[in-house]
Amino acid sequence: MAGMHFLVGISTENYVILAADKATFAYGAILADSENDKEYRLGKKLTMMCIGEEGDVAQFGDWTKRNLQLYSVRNASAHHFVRRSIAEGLRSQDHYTVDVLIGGYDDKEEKAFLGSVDYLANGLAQQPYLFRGFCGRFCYAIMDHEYKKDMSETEGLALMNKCIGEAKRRFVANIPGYKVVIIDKNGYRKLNDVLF
Amino acid sequence: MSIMSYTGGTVVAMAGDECVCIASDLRIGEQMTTIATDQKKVHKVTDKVYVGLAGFQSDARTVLEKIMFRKNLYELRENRRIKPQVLSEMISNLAYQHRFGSYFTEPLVAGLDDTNKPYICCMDTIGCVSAPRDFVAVGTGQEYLLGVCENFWRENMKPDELFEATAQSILSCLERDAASGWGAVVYTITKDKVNISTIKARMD
Repeated sequence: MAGMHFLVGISTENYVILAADKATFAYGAILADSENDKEYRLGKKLTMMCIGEEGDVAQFGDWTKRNLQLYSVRNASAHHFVRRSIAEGLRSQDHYTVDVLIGGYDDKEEKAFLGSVDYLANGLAQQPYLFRGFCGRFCYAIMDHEYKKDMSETEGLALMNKCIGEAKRRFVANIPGYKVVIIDKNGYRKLNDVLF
Repeated sequence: MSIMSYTGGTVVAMAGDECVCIASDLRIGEQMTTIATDQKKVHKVTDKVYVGLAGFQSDARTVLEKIMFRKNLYELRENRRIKPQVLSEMISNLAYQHRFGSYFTEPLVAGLDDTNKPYICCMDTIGCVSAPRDFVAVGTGQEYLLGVCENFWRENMKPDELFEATAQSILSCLERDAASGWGAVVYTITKDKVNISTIKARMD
């Protein structure tokens, strides 16, 4: 299910960059809000970005955030928890139509983590780059070509800007801006929004 | 669009003389877009028993977690390692419990039992077990594999020959099947060790 929204995740051994668009769309043609925060913090160095059905995103994001903050789980366990939650609801009345990206930094293993779970509970963990939403299709090939596993944070951000730039050029909807965060061994940092 | 070919993937297993070989491709996609190129579909259950799960990867992961849960309970209660025949019965029951509303995954079991006799079997989505003595294949490349395995398989192959046969078969399958690819991982299970090889195929 490719949505109108766009989530970007880029990681190396040392950091993970996550970006989410700030738009809320309604009735197929209206930009209802350009300050929508799609992020849900799951821990000190763990965060999740969600897109999908609006109500489901809010419910699922909030519920997951409260549960995982309570238990202070590690990155791979959080990914597993999210995947299981969606999988168990998949064949029931209250299933969640949400696509998520999870990014974090594990202090013990000294490694960054990037994973995704889609609305059908297909989970992918420990990937170098992941995208959610239709715009992702423009960006996989860019990353295949330009990604280097030892690139610095500046280079990683430049690549992220390239992907977002491509989405701006080629995607039919106008996305007004993106929220960008980075997590590394120094902690979680919210960077300046990318605005158009 | 079929749910069984949404994420793509193929698994094959062959039996030899006191050894089995199980192999899978490494691609996961969303229909025509490849999302990841390092996801194997073969998993270790015990030292001598491996399970492969092709089909829809979300359900494959869920079924794998249930298999590991039931295997752990079995080992706690019985205080011994599970045999491949017993594991396949267990998975078959698990699948049939969801007869109406099944998991969209076709499991494949390959291993050596206590006497080091090889055992391979595959199942459909509702747990119908078929355990031939030569080879089994599941996934999007199943039909391609059955043809090429027929050609490569012989009686009582030694581990090296078995590895060659399995590797060549899955390579041929990846050439043709669009939904599988990006290399293959081959596990050769013998009574003393397990050899894991990752082979490069056409990377697409």
